Amino acid sequence: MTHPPASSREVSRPSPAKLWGFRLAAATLVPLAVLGGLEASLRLIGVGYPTAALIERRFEGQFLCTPNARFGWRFFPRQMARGFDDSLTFQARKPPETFRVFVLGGSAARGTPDQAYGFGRLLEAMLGERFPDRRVEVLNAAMTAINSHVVREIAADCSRYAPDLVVVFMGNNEVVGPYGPGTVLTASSLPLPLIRATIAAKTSRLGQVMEGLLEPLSSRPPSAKQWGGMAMFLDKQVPVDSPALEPVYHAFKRNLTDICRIARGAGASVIVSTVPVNLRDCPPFASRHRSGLSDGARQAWQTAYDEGVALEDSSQAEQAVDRYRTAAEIDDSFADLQFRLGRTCLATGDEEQARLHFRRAMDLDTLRFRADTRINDIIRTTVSDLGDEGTRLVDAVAAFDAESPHGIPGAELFYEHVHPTFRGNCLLARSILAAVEPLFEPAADRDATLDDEAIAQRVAYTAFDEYTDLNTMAEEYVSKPPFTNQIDHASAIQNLTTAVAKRRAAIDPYECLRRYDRAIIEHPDDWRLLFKHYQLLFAVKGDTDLESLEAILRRIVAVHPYDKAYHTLGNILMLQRRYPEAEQSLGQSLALNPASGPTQYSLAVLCLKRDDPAGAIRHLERSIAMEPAESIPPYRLLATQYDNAGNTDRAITVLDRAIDVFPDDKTALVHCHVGELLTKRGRHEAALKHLDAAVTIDPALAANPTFVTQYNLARKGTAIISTTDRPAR
Amino acid sequence: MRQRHAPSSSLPNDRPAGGRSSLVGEFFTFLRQHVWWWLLPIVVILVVLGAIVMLGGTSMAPFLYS
Repeated sequence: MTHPPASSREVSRPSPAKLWGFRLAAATLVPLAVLGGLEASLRLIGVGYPTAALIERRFEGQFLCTPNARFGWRFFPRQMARGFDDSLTFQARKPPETFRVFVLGGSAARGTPDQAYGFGRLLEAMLGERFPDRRVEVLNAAMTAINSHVVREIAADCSRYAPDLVVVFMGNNEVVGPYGPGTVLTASSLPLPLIRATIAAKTSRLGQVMEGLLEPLSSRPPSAKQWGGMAMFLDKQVPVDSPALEPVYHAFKRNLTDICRIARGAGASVIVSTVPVNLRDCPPFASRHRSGLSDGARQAWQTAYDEGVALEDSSQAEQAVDRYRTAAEIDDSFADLQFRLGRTCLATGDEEQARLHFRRAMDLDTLRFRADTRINDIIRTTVSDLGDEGTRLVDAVAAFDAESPHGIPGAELFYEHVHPTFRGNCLLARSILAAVEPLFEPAADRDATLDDEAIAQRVAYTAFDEYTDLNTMAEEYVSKPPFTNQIDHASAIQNLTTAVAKRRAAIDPYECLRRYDRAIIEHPDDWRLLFKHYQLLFAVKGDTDLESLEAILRRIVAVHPYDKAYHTLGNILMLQRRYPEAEQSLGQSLALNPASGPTQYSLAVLCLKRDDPAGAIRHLERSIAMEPAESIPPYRLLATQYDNAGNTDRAITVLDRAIDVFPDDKTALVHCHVGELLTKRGRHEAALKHLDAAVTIDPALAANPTFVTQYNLARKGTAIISTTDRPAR
Repeated sequence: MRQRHAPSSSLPNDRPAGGRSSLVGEFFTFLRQHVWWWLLPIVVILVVLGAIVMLGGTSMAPFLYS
């Protein structure tokens, strides 16, 4: 073996300086180039998803911003990800003389239960009345269940579109929202830099690919039915003295500061509002004793508490207060005790004490779905610390206190724990309006009446809307966990049911329609008003006046083109058997939102009307892939198509997916459908199980003749099998 | 005829050096011979990226907000 001479080796080595230069370049520039190239390639071939809140699209000669339906994927499991309101569509280049406002926050800012009556819309209506010569555009970029980590991202995206004002109303989801300690999949709060690194990593396509590859290694998120249960909530309690809370408050302050700076950097004024919550009529969701309480002390506490409850139930408030105070001397950190003290103090006329106890009950609530006192203090100090004239504070907490009986906000202003009623939203909008007015010139039309009734007429808030909103809150929120854990839940539900029935009885549909007519004459280009009018007209007249419905929808898309309006127009055209026009309208809906599951579903229905089951299957598969938790009909229609095509097993698989995705209370008909298909395949026992599940979920099915026939068929099959299988004697 | 002088620090194979292209050539030769100097950072970055993505998890609020 020959070796090169030593002198030759020396000659072939670069100088130490060059060698280190090469090493440095190899360790930095090459990875940058490789990973950058990989990222660019992934984007080029369409792997991953866009993460910006808004996506720019060319549409019929306009340059529009539309909401990104996948924005929430970084923060929630895809099946559960929530989106922006469909109508968050606007001109990317702000029209001249337009005052553009972005509203940021969670579901309370979004306007739950109906964005059409959220404070953002009401603020827009009020500004329109006060400043009739200005074009005001309030864009609601709030999203259900998000907190400041997510709002910060949205603020950065919105700031690219020339905002004049950003209104920030957030604080209810800091613990239970993404990355909070009350969130289901994270054991405790992550440090803020790591949270931000996670969000940034998921913004890259490379990070998204890694997430997809590593997903099988991570713990599987609970299915919808699993995470609806009270047990899951109780598992995620965060007591007021939990060390996990301090990082939450720290992160909230940092995020809020960043949001204000981002908006100011874009040249916008900022209004940050404190977040009022229901104190008087919302008992705590869960309570815990202080740590270190001995068994004896706990027993003494329980005795005093139970005696207090008995006295309170027999309307002996003063004696009840006495017993509750005895319990509080042992342990005053049990939220329910503080709530009961608040209620009984109020009954004895001690409003000051009542206020303190109600507030303490909210702060001690271990299921922290409400912005607590500390969050609101942080909002106040952050705005003050910024010391910036362009960032103003609106103390909505003080405004709500002042407007409430005994100075304690309750059911007059809130549906449940945090979502304001129409009156609450009017109050919030008026509070914000007072801070916005100085930004306008010329002077406002101070004569414009902005009381609740005037605003209700302006936006056509009718008895029908009042009923619909209350019914939604009762069915979708208050009747489910964690509300079921609140004290006196049964009587609260009873009262709510009575109130819903009363409102329903008070509806005069034609008077409601007249209110809309009056409002539309005054504001013919208010597309939201027009869409609500469409909804009411459809509810009242059904499909008997399709021409009128079409005319309304055509006016809407002319004024404000957005996917839901085109989708609805497509459906109305389909009902009129004008299929080519329907297809065109649905195509326009997809052009504005290519990820729209409902539009794909409508296209599937259109295919069936044209006798194209293969096309229908294609659209239904897309509908489910795009929005798996949107609705059950796509699953059932797809199962029917597969069954018609002779592929019953595949049909059953599709329905099984639906049962896995949706909460139990929504799947009765899916179980019936599976039962029917299993009976057809001769799997009678499995069919019976599904039919039993269906009738357990919806007992009314037992009186449905079709269901009874199906059930008897399955049972008969089981009986035949068991007779056949019986061993011969 | 112009003559190019090889610097004392030239890499094996005695390729002509001294210009920009020779430096790039030397660098590529270095990359070929010392794979870990660039591969390790890529692996580390990918591992860190994966860890960050996994650590953050997919958070979700309990099913209050239907």
